[in-house]
Amino acid sequence: MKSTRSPRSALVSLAAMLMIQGCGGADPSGPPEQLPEPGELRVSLAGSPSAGAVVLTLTGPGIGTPAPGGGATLYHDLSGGTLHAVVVGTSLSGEILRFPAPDVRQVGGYQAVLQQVAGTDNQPLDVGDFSVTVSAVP
Amino acid sequence: MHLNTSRRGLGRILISAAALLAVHAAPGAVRWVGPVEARAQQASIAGRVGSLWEDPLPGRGTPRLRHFLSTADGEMVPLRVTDAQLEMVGGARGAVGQFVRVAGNWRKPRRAPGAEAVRELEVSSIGYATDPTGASPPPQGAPIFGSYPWITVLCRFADSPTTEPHPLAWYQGLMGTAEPGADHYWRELSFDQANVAGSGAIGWYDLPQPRSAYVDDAAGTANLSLLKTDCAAAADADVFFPDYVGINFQFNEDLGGFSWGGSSSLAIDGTSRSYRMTWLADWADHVTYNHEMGHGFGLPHSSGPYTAVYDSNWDVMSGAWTNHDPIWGWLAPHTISYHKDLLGWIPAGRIYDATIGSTQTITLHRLADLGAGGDYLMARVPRIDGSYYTVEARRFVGYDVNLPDSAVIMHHITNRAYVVDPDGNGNPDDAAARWIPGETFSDTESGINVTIDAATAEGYVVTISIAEPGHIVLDPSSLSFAGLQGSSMDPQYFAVRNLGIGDLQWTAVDDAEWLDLDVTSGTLTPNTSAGITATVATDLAPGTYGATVTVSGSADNSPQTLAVSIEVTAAAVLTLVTEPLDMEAVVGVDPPAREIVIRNDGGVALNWTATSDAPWMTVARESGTLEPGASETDTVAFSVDGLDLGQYAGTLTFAGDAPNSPQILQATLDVTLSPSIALAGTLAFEAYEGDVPEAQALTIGNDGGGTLHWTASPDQEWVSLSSGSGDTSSGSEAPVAVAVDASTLGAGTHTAVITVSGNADDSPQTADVTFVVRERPVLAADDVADHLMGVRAVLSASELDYLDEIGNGNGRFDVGDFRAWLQREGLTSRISTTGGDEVVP
Repeated sequence: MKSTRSPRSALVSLAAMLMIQGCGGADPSGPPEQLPEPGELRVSLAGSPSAGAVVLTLTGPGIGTPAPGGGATLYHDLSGGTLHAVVVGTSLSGEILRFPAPDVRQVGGYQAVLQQVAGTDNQPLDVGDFSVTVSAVP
Repeated sequence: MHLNTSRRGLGRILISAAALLAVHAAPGAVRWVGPVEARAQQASIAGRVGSLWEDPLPGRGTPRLRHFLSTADGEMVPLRVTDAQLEMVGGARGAVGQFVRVAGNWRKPRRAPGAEAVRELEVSSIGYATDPTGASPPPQGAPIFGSYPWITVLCRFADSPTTEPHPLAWYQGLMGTAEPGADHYWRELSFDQANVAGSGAIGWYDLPQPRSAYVDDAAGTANLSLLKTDCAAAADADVFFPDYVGINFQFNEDLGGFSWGGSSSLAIDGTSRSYRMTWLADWADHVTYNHEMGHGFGLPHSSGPYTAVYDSNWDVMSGAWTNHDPIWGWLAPHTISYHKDLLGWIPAGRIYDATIGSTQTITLHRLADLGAGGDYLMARVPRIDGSYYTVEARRFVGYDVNLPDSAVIMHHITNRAYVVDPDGNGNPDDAAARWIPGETFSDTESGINVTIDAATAEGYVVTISIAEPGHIVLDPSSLSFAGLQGSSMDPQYFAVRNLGIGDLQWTAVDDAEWLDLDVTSGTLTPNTSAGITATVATDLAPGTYGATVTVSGSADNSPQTLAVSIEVTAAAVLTLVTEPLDMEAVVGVDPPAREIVIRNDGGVALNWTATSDAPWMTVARESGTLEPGASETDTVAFSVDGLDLGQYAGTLTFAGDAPNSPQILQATLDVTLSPSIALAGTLAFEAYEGDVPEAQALTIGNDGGGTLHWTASPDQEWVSLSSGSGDTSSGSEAPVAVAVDASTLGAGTHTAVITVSGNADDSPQTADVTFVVRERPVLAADDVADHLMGVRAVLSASELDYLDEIGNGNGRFDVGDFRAWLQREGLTSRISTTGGDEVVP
């Protein structure tokens, strides 16, 4: 069904939209501006069998000092915009570390790569059987 | 209290035999008429099951409970049905009132040609069916509690409209609440738990047809179906029949010599249902009415143990003609305890059930009333065949005022009740059937005794006993053993026999440790026996011993005992004590000698001798004398001189004047080459400081002959062995696990020696142990992590090897090794950063 709108109601909507944009301090005559949203992103591990330790690298803009997931032990080096990390735990699954980011909406700009995986018996595992993803913290 | 003031009344002698025998009659003389569809050879019909008590005149057959089917059109179809078939619909009594469908075949008429056919349906199958009218069956049989109103309908045959044996008021009184009315009567019999309140009588009504249409005098039969239908229809305008549970159809003339009682259906007043029902002839009086109404309540007959049915004056459900009244005729006595219990009137706590093996004295209260106390009203005494006796007290009171006597009466209950009358003279009322104080009834077959101890004001004290079913006989009754000290005595046998009337479950125990029975329990059927073997020990000192075997069980004479005696005569007893004479020797080397202790355990002196049958075995002393209890030691020497390799056997015989002489020892001598110690295994260990490497094996073999008896011991405390000694036969080997412990050792190479010694020419032999203890690297976690991440290559090759060795050992340093190292160092609970910050989560 095709909808119609009266000229009067269209004017009212336009005025309301301009008032909202004016509150943000932007130029009311220009396009809307996306402001950065600082926060935390998380790196999650999936795969089987259970992993006991991983080595990974993480690249992306403005990576802050990371923290381990619950119960895990984290060793890391953050230099040149690249995070090198070793995460050791009893059984790693789901979130294994999180880190501060200047704009969490840019989550797609981060890339995590698994270097090594060891099982809970300390035997090496195939990294192809695991995956790591970067996502916003809900 | 009762209308008849004379206990003995007129006496039986005045009773007309014809009238007496005609009180109760039955369908053997009934003219049965089948429904129209039943004319075919086979039939399937539905209706309610009814029953009538068939009481033929003497000589006309056996009394029995007859079943019939009342159909929707009011016909009564006689059934030839078995008890097993009736079980399908509740049993012989439970089936009464049930709506069923019956299939079967019509049987030929039993009457002579020319007479009206009496057809029976021989049942082939019977099962529950649904009553198309939706009516539920009336309750039948026990228990009978509460009100059971009956209506008595008086009917006159069309050809005798003025004949009335009694006026209506007489029948109303007979059904009334005043003594001896039926309501008063049944209240007393039931201990006021049941009554016929609301009962009444109505009539006279005229039947549409003359008597000849209903009664065939020549055949002695009556058409009960037509009688009930026509009589009920005649009164229907004045009676709403469903208000009553029972109907007495009273007729003004004879019905062929019979009256009937039981149950039957009637379709009237808009409903077809089963009623408790009687058909009464003109001569029916108080006892007739209550007898037939008793059938209507589900009661069977009782009688003496003879062919007659109406011979017992102890029960309204038998004859009962001892109490005549000028108005009401013969007055009915009580019914017996078996019948009162059938209808549920005797409280469970007032019934004594005797048990096998028991003797109990009880007080029986008279059966005519409950009394103020809690004395028993009846006793049940089980027989061995599954039947039982009832015991009851009868006194002159209430409707029992004119009994044959005041006495304890017993009945034998099988399919029904029969008076216990030991004299067998055909009279169950006489003295033999009356049990009075001082008399005892005995049933030896079942081990039952019932003794009348005394009379009380309202009953009797009786003692009832039932013996255990078994009877123990021990054969023989004693056993005697005799023999010399130390000698074995032949076993003896005895039998446990059961000469009782039932199974005997028995056990046997003895009171002496020196006596043993091979069987100590069992079950014996009558006239069977079990054999038991008794043996006695051989180590008894001289003397006389006595013991008792006690056999007890389910027997009337339990327990029984058997005496056992034993006479042991003193004698010498030769006893030898020694190690087994299984000797090993190396060629040219004699094995060590063995000592043998010779002892006299007997009561007299022992003269003994010792002889060897092998030249390589000799004894130091070949004879001697030992007083009782004395002993001495002899020496057996073995010589391999002149013997080749191989195994030799011989015997050493000790003899003497003892019953257990001779005692023979078997000896063997194995002549072999000397054993030789062969050690194998490289005992080289390597570990980091504080570690415990896996154990390694040292094999101790015997390359020579015989058996190597070895011992092994290390010279350093950090070496331990799983076994320090053992035997290794020729050609075999024994593994010993060697373990080392670096906990007390510093870095460096350590050595030890294990010495193995034994009965070998080359003993001792040694095995060297080396243990290289390496220094453990000291590493920083950040360095190890950085190296792992590739940030800084700070670890040496030996450090990387160390990490891999304590890790997964795959030849390279990886994250698994790192995790293992963290675990070993206890660092897994910390989080550190390369920037020096440290966070503990």
